[in-house]
Amino acid sequence: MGDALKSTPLGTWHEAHGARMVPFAGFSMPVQYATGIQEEVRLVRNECGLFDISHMGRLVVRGAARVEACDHVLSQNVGRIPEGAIRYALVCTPEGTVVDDVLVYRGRDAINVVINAGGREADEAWFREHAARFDISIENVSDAQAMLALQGPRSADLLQPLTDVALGALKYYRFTEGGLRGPKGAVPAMISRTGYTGEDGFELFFPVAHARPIWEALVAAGASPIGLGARDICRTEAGMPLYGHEMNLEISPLEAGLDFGIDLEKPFVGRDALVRQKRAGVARRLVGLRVEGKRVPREQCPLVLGDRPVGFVTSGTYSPTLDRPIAMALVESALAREGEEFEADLRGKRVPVRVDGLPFYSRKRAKKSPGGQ
Amino acid sequence: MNRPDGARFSKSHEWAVLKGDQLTLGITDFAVEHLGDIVFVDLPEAGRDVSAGDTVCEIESVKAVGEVYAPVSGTVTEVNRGLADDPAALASDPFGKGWLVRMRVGDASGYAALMDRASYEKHLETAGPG
Repeated sequence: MGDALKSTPLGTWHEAHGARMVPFAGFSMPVQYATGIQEEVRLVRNECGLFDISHMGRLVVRGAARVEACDHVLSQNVGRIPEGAIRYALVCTPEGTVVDDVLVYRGRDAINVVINAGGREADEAWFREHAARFDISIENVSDAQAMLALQGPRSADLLQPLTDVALGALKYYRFTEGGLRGPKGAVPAMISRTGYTGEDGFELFFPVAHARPIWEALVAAGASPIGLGARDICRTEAGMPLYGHEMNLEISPLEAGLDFGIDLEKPFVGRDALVRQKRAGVARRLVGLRVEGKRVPREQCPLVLGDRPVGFVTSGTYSPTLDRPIAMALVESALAREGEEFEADLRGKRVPVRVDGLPFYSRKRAKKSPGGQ
Repeated sequence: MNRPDGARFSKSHEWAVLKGDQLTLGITDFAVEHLGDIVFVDLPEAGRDVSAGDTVCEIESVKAVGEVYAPVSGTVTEVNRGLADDPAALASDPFGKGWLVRMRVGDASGYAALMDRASYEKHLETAGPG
């Protein structure tokens, strides 16, 4: 085994509450609680789930040239993000593949970049290297801050009594500074209406010393702790990409269909390669798969048409919400159309699959924004 | 969970009971616990010949797939069809209603090499999950 696993500030809580801990990106993380993964997915879809995602990385970019620096390193047009809004972006290599995918929070005096756990050190180093010529400071607050996610239709109702932020006024992919009500008074926090499950919900960022009291207050209010297992299923059902699976240092974001996070009209690291790729057309594309039967084509499962390899599964799981297997896959572009049929090679057994639209699941949006106004 | 005294156990968490030349095979409570929510059991056809170490069936849980290995060589004579409709029976009663396959055993020497219950429980104490 390699280095000792790190723990989030809630690691001992998880262990004391029936979590099964697994290594993930250098952290010991709860994959599930005694509740079980299927029930945890149901709770997120129907009630309110609480996730400890303090393992994720967070960089704060400050200084006069912060917008220009982020625009140079990130694929999204950061200059056009309104203050208080959040956008998805990619950190690309000069070759147009992906170092990480991130969320960019444009504040008044700072830009917060939320990165994957695996990118905590690597992304910071990448920023420092590629934005060296800009007048900025980069603070890595990954260890100083806790990060929790509340996800599910009841999230706003459950969180509202515990914050002074009017949640009804906080729109999707917006954030605000505000107070969380801890047992010993207000805790300064950043609250965003974001998440990685396909449900309505919030992500909370606040000083790590308050992790346990805030977590316990949310549990006491009725939020159910949810592990990474259910989180991965929810994001797959919602057709959301995961770094290292749907994109990586060998898969371009255009192949992964992440065009919405890319502005090719402005210069950034990797842009020229992506422009060339776009002009030539990508050789393969990310699709959803409809799978016959109950066996699950999992990550790396080969896809074949006759004897010809045509792609591979990037994420596959059983979907408790849909009660069937679901998978995302990279397939050759000619086959990346809804209705195209080929086969998954499931450990030697062939199973018919058909290209399906993404996402597999999308929530019914409430007519009225929840949380009251 | 009551692990049956008369059963033998493998390091990969199968259990087996041999009566005459009939072997009944399943997976242990530890394996069930480790797999998590089971959604599908892919059983072999009766009549299939298997060699010791072959995968005889696959168990799909929400997050993983578990392979069940034949501890001995033989021919599959019967499979637990009930699990197709009710895979949860495997989780709730792995040593009873959750049996997987019955085999007619050719050479039973592999059976003697399996662990008895006490040895298996010692193995569980020292082995990590998986």
